[in-house]
Amino acid sequence: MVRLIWIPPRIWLEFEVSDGRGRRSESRLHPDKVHEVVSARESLSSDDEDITEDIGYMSEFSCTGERDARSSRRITNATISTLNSGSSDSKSSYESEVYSTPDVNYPTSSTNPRTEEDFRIIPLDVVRSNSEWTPYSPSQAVISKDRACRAPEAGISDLLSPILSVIPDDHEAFWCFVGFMKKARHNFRLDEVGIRRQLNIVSKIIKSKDSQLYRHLEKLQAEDCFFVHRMVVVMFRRELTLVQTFCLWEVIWADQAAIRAGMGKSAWSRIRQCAPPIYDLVFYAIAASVLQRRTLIIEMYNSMDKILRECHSMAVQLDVWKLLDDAHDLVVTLHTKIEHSFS
Amino acid sequence: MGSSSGQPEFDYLFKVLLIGDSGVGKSSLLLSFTSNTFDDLSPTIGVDFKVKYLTIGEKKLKLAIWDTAGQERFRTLTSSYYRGAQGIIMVYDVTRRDTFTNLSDIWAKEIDLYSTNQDCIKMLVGNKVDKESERAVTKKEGIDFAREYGCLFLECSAKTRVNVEQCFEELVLKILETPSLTAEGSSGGKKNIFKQNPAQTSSASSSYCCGS
Repeated sequence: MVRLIWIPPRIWLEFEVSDGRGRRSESRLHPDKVHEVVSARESLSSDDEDITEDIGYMSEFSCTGERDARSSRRITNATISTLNSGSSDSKSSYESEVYSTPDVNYPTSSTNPRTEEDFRIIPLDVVRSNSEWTPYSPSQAVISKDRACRAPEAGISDLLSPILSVIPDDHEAFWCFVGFMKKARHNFRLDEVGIRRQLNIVSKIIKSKDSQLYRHLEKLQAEDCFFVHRMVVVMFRRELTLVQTFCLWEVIWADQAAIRAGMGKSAWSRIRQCAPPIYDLVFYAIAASVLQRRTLIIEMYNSMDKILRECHSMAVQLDVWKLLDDAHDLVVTLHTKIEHSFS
Repeated sequence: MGSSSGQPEFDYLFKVLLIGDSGVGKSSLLLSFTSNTFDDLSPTIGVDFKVKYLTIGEKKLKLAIWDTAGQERFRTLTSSYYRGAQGIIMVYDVTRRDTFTNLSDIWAKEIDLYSTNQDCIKMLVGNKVDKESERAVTKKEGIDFAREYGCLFLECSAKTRVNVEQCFEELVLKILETPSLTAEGSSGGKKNIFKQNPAQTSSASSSYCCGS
């Protein structure tokens, strides 16, 4: 049995191979692939510098305690045995499975109470995070919604669900997600420095583009743009449909890839009126979504909570292509100013 | 008071905050209360917000209910939402003991730290009583906790809607009994910054729930 396990803060993701007692139907990887993944994991724990650097962020989250790979494996096994103890053997248990013995097994007065709560089982959370989720294989179909409601890691699973839904192989999805989280990890820092910095960029874009709207936000003490917090954390995942999310993310990633490939400003500076690739296009898209509602916000909303509610109800109204057009317009007029102020 | 034509009318506006560990059912409780439905919900990111109009006695009330994320990584940002709340509902899951122990370890401290309102009414709610066979926290423990911290107490199920409305109604009734809070929430009066009255939350009520 193979599972993708989420264990913050010390260990991010773990593939685990069971001793064979697990349900056969949950096995998602070919044994050879399992072997590859495990080998890859083991090589990560060696001193291979390249790979270690690749996953360097993992160690950023370690605050206290040393939980080495061995102990994480122990915990993971415990998790799986807990899961198995409460699961039925029927494949058709997707809807009705009762996860009967979850927390009873947890020590109630543990010396390290966080240990039990720290791990997260990502595929399960993905089910809960993604209403459009359709299992693409029988192995996913056995994931119970009831289980999925336990110990969610809000946000991270929102980012994982689109990846899992287009990449059928666990090991490929795993490494894609690792790459993705290298950038997105700032959203989940406990000190919230990353998220505040990003909200600040959105605020700056709005201030530069629309001083009247910004003054209105100041009056409501909402100039910190907290009302777009959710959009920033999960990059519009909650506001857009799955397909729309793919569109937006791919455009954002294409920009980042263009920058990495050296297609920076020099090539674009000769083409007037065309938005250069920009690393943080998502912030311009978020600002654009707010600016699209500027009149409503200025005339109708006299408190931050109303703006928040409006932002949270954008879901069915957003046109992703219009959003991208508006975002690119903002990039054309503002990117030098904004980039300069944060460089 | 507040009876201008055309606009939605209400006599009082109260701000209520839902707090508690991740996955205990805060959002489900709110959904169950505001839309009479129950669904699998995505985990809350940051904070969410819903409005519910209630009529209690002859008073029309507007409840602005803030639903916060239970996760640690969103707590600093959400802490500002304690400001000005007249009621705070602490939710735990009766089938997960850790969510109950975290109330005293984490959530009661958060209230002390962030709540600006001395008279603010606190309420303890044990959710998921529909899973009676999995219960890990007894009702008596809930009552004892409520007595110690001076809260109201109820057990409910967002899924079966047992006691859901009572949770909010009892809280609102208690707020209405507290003059400093009603002065703040009154749509006609100014916000009362100074609280003259001492807290009236000494005795814990323990309403019944009819766990299935």
